[in-house]
Amino acid sequence: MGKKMNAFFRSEFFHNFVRSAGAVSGLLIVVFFLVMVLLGPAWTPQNPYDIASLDLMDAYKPPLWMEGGDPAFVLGTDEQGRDLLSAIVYGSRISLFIGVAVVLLSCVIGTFFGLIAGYFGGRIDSILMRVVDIQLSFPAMLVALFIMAAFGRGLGKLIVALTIVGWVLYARTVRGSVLVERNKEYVDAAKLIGLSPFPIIVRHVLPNVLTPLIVIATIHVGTVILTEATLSYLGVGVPVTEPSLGLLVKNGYDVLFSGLWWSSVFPGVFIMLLVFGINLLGDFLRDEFNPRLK
Amino acid sequence: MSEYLLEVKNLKTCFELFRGTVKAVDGVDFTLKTGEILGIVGESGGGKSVTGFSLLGLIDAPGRITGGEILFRGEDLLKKSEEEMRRIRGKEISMIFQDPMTSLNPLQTIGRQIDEMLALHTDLSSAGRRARILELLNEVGIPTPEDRLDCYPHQFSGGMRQRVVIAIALAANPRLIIADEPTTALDVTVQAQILKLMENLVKKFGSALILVTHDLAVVSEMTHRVVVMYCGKIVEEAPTAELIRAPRHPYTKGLLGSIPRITGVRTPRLPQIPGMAPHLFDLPKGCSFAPRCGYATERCREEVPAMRELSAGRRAACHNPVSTEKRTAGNG
Amino acid sequence: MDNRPESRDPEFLLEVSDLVQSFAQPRGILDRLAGKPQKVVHAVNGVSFAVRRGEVFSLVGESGCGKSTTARTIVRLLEPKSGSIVFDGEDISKFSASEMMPVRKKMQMIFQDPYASLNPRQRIKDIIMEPMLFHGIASGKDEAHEKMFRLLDIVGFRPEQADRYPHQFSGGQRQRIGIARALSTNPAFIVADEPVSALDVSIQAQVLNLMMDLRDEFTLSYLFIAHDLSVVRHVTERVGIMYLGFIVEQGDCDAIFGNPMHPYTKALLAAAPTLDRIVAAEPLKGDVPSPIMLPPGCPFANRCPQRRDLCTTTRPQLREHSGRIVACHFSGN
Repeated sequence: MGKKMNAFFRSEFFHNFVRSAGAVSGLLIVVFFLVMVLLGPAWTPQNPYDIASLDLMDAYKPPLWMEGGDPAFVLGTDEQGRDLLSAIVYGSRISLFIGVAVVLLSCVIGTFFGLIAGYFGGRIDSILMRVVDIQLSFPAMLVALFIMAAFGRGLGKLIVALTIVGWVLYARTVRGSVLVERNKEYVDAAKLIGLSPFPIIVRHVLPNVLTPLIVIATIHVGTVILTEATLSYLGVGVPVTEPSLGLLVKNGYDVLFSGLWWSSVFPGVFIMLLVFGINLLGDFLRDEFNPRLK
Repeated sequence: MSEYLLEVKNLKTCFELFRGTVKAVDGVDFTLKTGEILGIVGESGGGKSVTGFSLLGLIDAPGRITGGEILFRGEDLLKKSEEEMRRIRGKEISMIFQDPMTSLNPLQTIGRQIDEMLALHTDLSSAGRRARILELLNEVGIPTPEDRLDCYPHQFSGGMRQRVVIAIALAANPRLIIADEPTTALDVTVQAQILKLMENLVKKFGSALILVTHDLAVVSEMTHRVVVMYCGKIVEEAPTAELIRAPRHPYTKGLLGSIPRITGVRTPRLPQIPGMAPHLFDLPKGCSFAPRCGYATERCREEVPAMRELSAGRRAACHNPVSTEKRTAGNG
Repeated sequence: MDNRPESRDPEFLLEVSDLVQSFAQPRGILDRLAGKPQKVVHAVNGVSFAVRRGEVFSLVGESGCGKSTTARTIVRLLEPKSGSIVFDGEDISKFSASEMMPVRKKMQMIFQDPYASLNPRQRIKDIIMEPMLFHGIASGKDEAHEKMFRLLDIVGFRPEQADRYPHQFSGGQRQRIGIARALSTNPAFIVADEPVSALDVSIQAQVLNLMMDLRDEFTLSYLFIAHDLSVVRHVTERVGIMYLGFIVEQGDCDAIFGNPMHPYTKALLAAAPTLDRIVAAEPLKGDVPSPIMLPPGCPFANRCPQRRDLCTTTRPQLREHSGRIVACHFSGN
């Protein structure tokens, strides 16, 4: 293990990483969010969705540095006396959870179908790729919106809807890589051993098509978080009992013009920061893993 | 002006990579006269292609020409601006690459691609250019050139494509042509056609040719003089026939010995050079070839051999050159 | 469906008869709607030859002549369109995947591209042990390890190199790893598809020598596919010259190289660059015809310096000529 770590710190990848300001800032932002979200309940002043801990007396408190700010509520409170910082931490947790869950599911499903389509070709390939083409010809947001409108709000439903929208990306990329790999001689060598398609796909093809997925998956987390925020803002995303950052923006927007600008603006800033960090990281990975740029 | 068309002095080209600096070309000297065909031979990593690209200033980052002079008609190409080099490329010096598919634009007809070259480097009128294109295509052996002008590269076979590339290279009547493995991607019967064609055209147009290749047999049939490269350095230079008959550097000798022959007695085992070329990141202290050399002594492992003249027109960088008495095994 | 005599010569390890391979070119929807006929590439057009036990037999020819397709069909990476492939007394041309299993053990392949033929994500030891464990040649991990180290030693590696990945090796080293993989199932027959054409000259000699040493040590027979005539001459006992999917001349290697009879063989030998030729021959004119529209006569007719009218109309059959077979109407003259 120590040897491996050592090799990693001396690798070209690590060398380029520490010299890329964008990549390092991206990582710092993402790590900041992860720490905030994982340790959230331990340090936030309240659980914003435990009605018992709310006090209407605290409502309409502005951020700390403004006239009438309260040190207990650094970013102020909303109209129900909910601490905005706590709400953002819990909201980020939901946003990130949805992002990661959707990406993992999409990746598994997309890779599965991409492998099958690319390796076997023929009719299976034609059918699968037509499905992908059709789906890609609708705006992802529209498809998700339609699914959510039909099935109603819910965290699980939202994840399913976003996965249905997202898997095609992986399927298409994996299929493309498989088409290249399956014609390489090492796959012929595996066939000559006598291996049947399944072990060839799993042991020989799959490990060689994963690299581009790291890049796609990273950037996809950002996209999913944005889509989720939009859907929640439109009122078809997460339920009110589990508000994500997007829903916080929406809740804040309702009272924006009654002077509570902070309860809409701060969640928005956090969405922007999180997606920005993820994209910085994704851009770096893309540059590193794209052989054409080398 | 000097008697040489091209004089390369102590050329050095380095690549700054993450793992360290690679001296791909390390102090290369050679000369070339008009009408001459020079072969640059070596195996992969020898530096032969980088030498060819360096002559035209076609070294991209992380590569860099770090020293030396390239005197072309008495003027140092390394002191020229990129703008001046662009005028020299194609007009004065042109290049033929290994893969004709990548040097032709797949989206343009071949007539258009030759025309572009002519328009850039000559002051012919449009009708004059068309006449010249037909003449060139005829010259490189493309039958019925009128019908071929509007064809795209993919409509040609590999050999025909390489003929088009040669036509483009010849379009502006350059004084020097650098051909980097021009026939490696082609079949032997087509290779024979292309080599013959290049030889005839060089003679006819009075230009000079540098043939960069790994194939000593091709070199022996085409060139007047040969430069053998190993690990970025020239190890031996000689008139072709002499080099083939009696190589002086042990590397050249080993290389010649390991080529199976198409005629003569079959030996049960091929003579082989043991081991493999050292990595350019960590070259040995003395002679780069010493670890694989049967003639190596303590001195070879300690001290880099300097290039020295062995006889008129022959030089080698070796402390213990092979004696001329003994002929190479398998020759005849 | 197969009318050849049942008695199969035990002298031969592999007998290929009338092998045909072709590929339909994919048609787009527009072509299909326009009713354009499907284009078919005729890659191998009735090839017959046999490999004796312990022999090296070579198929030589230029790119597109069908030599690699023939090889890949014999090892059943491709399904033959027709013809028979008798390996060790059994016609394997129609064997199912499970019937092929015991045959796979005896028949292995060495590939052309040392960079593409090893899985970049597998360690060297796993590359070599996978076939052994799959075919149960080693009874367990320990025995497999032992055999793997022995094979690595034979092809010239130190035991500690077994844990490395392919990218840590040079082209010649990778090719030797590919050879060790081919040997891991104790095969009797190895198809070597251009095994040295991607290697440097000095490394070529090493790999060829290794292959020939292994032939003696493991009593192997080789089907050697190559375009380089001098390499072929060096390793081969008997040779078949291919052109446009046909064998045009076949027989003893020394005899053919010493006195080629088919005009194509002559041209091929004359075109190969050599170190010691004084006068180069006039190169062959023209290009190989398209394998989609095979010429009705001799496949070589359009480039042949000795062409007569008969050649463009009638396809010559392989005929015996002083111990070898030649497909030319006028090879006697």
